[in-house]
Amino acid sequence: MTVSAEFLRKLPFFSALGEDELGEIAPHVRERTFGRREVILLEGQAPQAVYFIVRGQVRIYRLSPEGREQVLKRLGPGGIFNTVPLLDGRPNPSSATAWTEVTVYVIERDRFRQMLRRYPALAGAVLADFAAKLRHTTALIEDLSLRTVGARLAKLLLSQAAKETEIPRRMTQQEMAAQLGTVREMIGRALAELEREGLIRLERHRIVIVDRGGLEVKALL
Amino acid sequence: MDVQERVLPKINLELCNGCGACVSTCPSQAVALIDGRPVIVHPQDCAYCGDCEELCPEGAISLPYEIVFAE
Repeated sequence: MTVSAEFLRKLPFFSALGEDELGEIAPHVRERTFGRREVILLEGQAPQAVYFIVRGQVRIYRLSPEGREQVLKRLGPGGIFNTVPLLDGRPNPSSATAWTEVTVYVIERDRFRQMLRRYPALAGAVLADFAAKLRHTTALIEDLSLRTVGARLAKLLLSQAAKETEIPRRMTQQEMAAQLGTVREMIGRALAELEREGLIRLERHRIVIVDRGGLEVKALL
Repeated sequence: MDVQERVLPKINLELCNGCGACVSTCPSQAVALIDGRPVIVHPQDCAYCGDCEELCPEGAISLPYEIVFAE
């Protein structure tokens, strides 16, 4: 199903384009819907298209040879993914799964490359997105290589409680593990350790940060 | 907290394959298979330990935690 220029304008990537340009692009954009936990694309596949999220949340991740999942990013409405392999022609560097029911706008690979050449505003939006992704990846590398699991967990708990991310504040231990590059068992131990240190209190379905300053110090370790 | 207010693990029956791993692993026998699908039959016994979430091969069970600052 194709989309209208009116709907396209609502996405941040297309907000700088004029009416005529949107009218030229819209016929080449398709709308697709994915069910909860449905795979959108797989790491290693040849790239076919770029995706713009209209509704729902998408999880971008890689799998280790042992099957452990490392979440690279979670994207919500307005997010874009799969631009990198479309531009360098190499296989998808990561997989994408619909975390909730998801609606995306899809532009086929070759058509998207043409659009980037023809519409500088679109190319600029993609570059800005690359810059943001590079910052995020740099921060993730720093976290994984320089911080302990306890420090990374402390940072995650603080950011979730402070609503600094667009991700819902409810997380399972498995989700925390995937995001922090570890396993669920380590999260359980790290949470117990934080509670023993008096920084958090574990309730039945709730993690309560009781010593915010102490947890902030922990997050820097 | 009465039974009606008790927070329980969330089971996604669309993902569940009826293998029963959650039933055999639950340390308090709070969950059972009914018509081939897991049901928390003893909610008052559920300790929210997370073993069912960890062992479910389909990721059908989740125990979300709300993360908040103390008031």
